[in-house]
Amino acid sequence: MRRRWPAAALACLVLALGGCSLPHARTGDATSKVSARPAEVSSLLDSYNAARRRGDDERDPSILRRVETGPLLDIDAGAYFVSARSGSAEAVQPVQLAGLLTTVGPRFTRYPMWVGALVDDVGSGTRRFVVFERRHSAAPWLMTAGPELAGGSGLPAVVKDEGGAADHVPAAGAERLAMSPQEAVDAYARALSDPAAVEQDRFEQDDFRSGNADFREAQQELQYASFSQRWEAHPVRYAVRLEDGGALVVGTLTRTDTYRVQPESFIDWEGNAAAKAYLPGRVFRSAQLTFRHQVLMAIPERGKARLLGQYGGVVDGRGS
Amino acid sequence: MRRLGGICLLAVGALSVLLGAVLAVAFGPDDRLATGPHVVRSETSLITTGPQAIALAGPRVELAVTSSGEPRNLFVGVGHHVDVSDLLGETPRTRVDRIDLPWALTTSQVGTGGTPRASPLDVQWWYAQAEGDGRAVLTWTLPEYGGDVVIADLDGGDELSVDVTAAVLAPGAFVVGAAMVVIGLGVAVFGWAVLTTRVRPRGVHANRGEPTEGGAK
Repeated sequence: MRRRWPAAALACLVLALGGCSLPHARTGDATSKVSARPAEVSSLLDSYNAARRRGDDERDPSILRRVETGPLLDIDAGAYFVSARSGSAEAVQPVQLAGLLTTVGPRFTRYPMWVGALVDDVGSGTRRFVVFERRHSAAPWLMTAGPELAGGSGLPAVVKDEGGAADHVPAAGAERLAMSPQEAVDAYARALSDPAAVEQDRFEQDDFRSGNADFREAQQELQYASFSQRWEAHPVRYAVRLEDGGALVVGTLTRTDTYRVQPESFIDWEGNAAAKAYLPGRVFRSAQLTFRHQVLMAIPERGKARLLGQYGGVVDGRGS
Repeated sequence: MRRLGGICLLAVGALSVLLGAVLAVAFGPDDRLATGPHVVRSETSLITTGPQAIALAGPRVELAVTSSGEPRNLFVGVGHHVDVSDLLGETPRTRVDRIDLPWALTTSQVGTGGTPRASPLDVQWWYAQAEGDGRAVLTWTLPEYGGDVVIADLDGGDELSVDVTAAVLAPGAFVVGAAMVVIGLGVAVFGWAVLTTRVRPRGVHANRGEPTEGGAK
């Protein structure tokens, strides 16, 4: 080893004199990587916008499949379906993601990996937290979530390391949190399902939950059909630590609305374009509409969790 | 004092000549400090480096890979270890675990079986990539977070044997070295002159000890 010193010193000197960056021991971690940098996210947004523009024009979900997947694709393809069936352009909310405000990319040692981004959606005039996921190294980045932030608000500050990587929180990781990300989304689903559930107290009041409660109450007053509604949480995949000690969580919920029609009655869904698209004609016995909703929430270290935004729509319907 | 100054100038000039000469000779007119060619062999069609093999960061480097014997459809790429290991999975290959310069490799056989997820040409995350029939040359800057080098025969097969030449690139190094030699020579000659040339004393101090009528001139 000692014999190598003069050669190494001479090599360094020669390289320095040659105007070359001096070779030095690597400081970065070779076995993990930040999922995506802002420049890469900008490029993803450009590709998404191009496909989305075409998809919105043609109402063709096969175009969306090139840039979206999972529950988000279910929601947006559902909107295309409703628009095509109803002949109304209003069912599809145009999306054009213009301004990249923040990227949230955790560090990964293996695939799948994901990156979040706060963006301005000039198409709908809202602000969204979009998530792109890549299943493996040869797969494309696809958008999997895109909750809209209430009132165009910003994100709470996310913890980032020196390399700009966000601190990933496991779905079941409740350390220094009022509840784990999975617990929070499960509890929120129960709070949406039952106005009397104890989970109501684990969340600050929000318009989405109160709006849903109003809708459920109105449906339960229907005289020609009974109505029930069930919410279920999907496994949480996206959660990062916040600077205030809490966690930012993107969760997905499935909502199932069930109608049981009274004898000698029917439902014809007048005024409900989404239901009418999936259940054309009259329903005489029962009907079931399935929705997907994606929620963005902040879980504090202590106290009540807060809904920051949501995005959803009808994805399926069946009836007889 | 003159003597000391002369010696210093001579020393600086000589050092500059020496370093400049080393720099110019080491990099040559093509500004490359190279080692190789060195033979690297694999029982399969794939050779990679492990995540710790390239332990340095900083300079711009070039890797010239030439297939030994029959020309092979070569691909050479460098990408992040997380991407490369996911792409190759358990594909059998020769992995270079350690590189000791000027050139000694520690290798191992890895991979229990399988094929890559996709062709290396179908992914876009390479820092740098090159292909060629029988020869491929790759240039990139060694990043802080390393990178795995992949040498593959795109047509598959086995018994891949390649000659590898690695080089550090420093544009302008030869010119800088030559300039250092010239300037160093100039400084050394001046130093030598200061050391050896007698200069006729003038001024107040020149007259000290030899008082003349009317004082100093």
